[in-house]
Amino acid sequence: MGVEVFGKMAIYMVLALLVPVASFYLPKLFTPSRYSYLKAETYECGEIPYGTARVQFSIQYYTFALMFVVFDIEALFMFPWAAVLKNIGLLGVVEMVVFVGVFVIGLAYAWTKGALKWVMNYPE
Amino acid sequence: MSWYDSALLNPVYSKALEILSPLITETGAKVLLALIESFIIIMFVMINVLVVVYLERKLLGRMMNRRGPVYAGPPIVWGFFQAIADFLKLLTKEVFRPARADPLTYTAGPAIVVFAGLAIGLMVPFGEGLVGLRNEASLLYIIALASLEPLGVMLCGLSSNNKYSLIGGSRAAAQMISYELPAILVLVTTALLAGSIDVLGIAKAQDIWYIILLPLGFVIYLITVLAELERTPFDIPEAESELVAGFMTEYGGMYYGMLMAAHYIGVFVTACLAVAVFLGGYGFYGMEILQASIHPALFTIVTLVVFLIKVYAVIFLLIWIRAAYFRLRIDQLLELGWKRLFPLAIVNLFWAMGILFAMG
Repeated sequence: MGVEVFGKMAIYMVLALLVPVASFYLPKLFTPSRYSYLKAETYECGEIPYGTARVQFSIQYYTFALMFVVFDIEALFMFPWAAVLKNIGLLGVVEMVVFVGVFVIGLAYAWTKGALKWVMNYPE
Repeated sequence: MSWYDSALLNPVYSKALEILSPLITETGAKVLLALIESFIIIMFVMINVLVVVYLERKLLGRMMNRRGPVYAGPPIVWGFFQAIADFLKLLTKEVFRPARADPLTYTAGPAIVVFAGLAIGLMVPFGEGLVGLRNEASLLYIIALASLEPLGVMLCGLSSNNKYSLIGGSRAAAQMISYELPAILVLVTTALLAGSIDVLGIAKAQDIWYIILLPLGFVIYLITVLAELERTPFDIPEAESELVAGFMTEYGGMYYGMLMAAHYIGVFVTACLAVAVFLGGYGFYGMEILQASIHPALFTIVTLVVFLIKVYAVIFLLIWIRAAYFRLRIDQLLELGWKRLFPLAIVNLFWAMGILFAMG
């Protein structure tokens, strides 16, 4: 059972990965390849490229990312609960109300602290 | 469970197994047939992608009072061959990588995006018995692969070594993580009503379509779909008037083709998921009566057609929204995600719990 399920999944996934990879190499068989300096240059709207893009880049949404990690894990815990709620009844509801309550308090705290803004320290 | 279990393919499967088993042992025959089945599913998704590409161009054209593609192919197909012609043209373009891009991640980015979209197709129930692999936790599998996509987009943006790509890629990642959370919370509510986290189980549990029980949930899901697919009004990562083409700026030829394909695979697959969890899957009124009265293979085809009709209705809605709305700004978009949709998704969760207990 396990071998059949995961074997099939593996076969499918290998094939799904092969589609893009093959399509990157297939055109090489019948297309000419001519190198030119300008063609290989980075595109910056026709200007001569200035510097590199490997720079210290301010990721303004890192607070969103932090909150996403926390809330995503919390949301994932809901799936097993959702599957069995019909059997556990009211106890499950009470537990989820408490769980979501913590969830909501966390969101409200982040909101009032101004973590849900694209640019922090920006005057309103 | 596989496509071979459906009444349509089962006779072919047993015949093929009978012929191949003496030649390459039973295990070998099963592996070969599983490979062929995987190929069939992938081709099915890819053909639908061509149709979606064509529909988007044609319908957008008609909505903008243009004609859209008309010339390719005989007049009867209304220019459908344009999609195929474009694909063939991309195939004959040079595969080319900018000198400053990082070779490995530059290739890995589009590959991951396409892989994530295609791999979802394995567990989507397209019709009676037409599900590649049935699993008790297939909704989790689909969510896991859907959240793999931002990683690929981010890699595209970072590896290109282009400032537009960098900004586009990071915006895409911000938007995808912001909208994934409401999407997951809404999908939980459908699992809640069905008492199962199997997509097929949810589809079959819908005596009343969940769009009627959870109207708020469906609206939230539709908005998050638009955001995760980076479609108008949320197409900020590739906002052409400010970022050239966002994370796709440095991609050309078949790389570009694959990124576009990944986008439309995403459109098709998420529409499939929306149909499966909100619009009753392949079920329709009077299904049991029809099942009893016609040949099982014919019934499989009927369910497949019903499913596709619903999917293309959802896709039509997505295209319509694209034609009708304008683009949001990135901070407006994140505010909408975190300050509106996320609390609404929690309201929807309590609503679903209420419905569950109201129905007993």
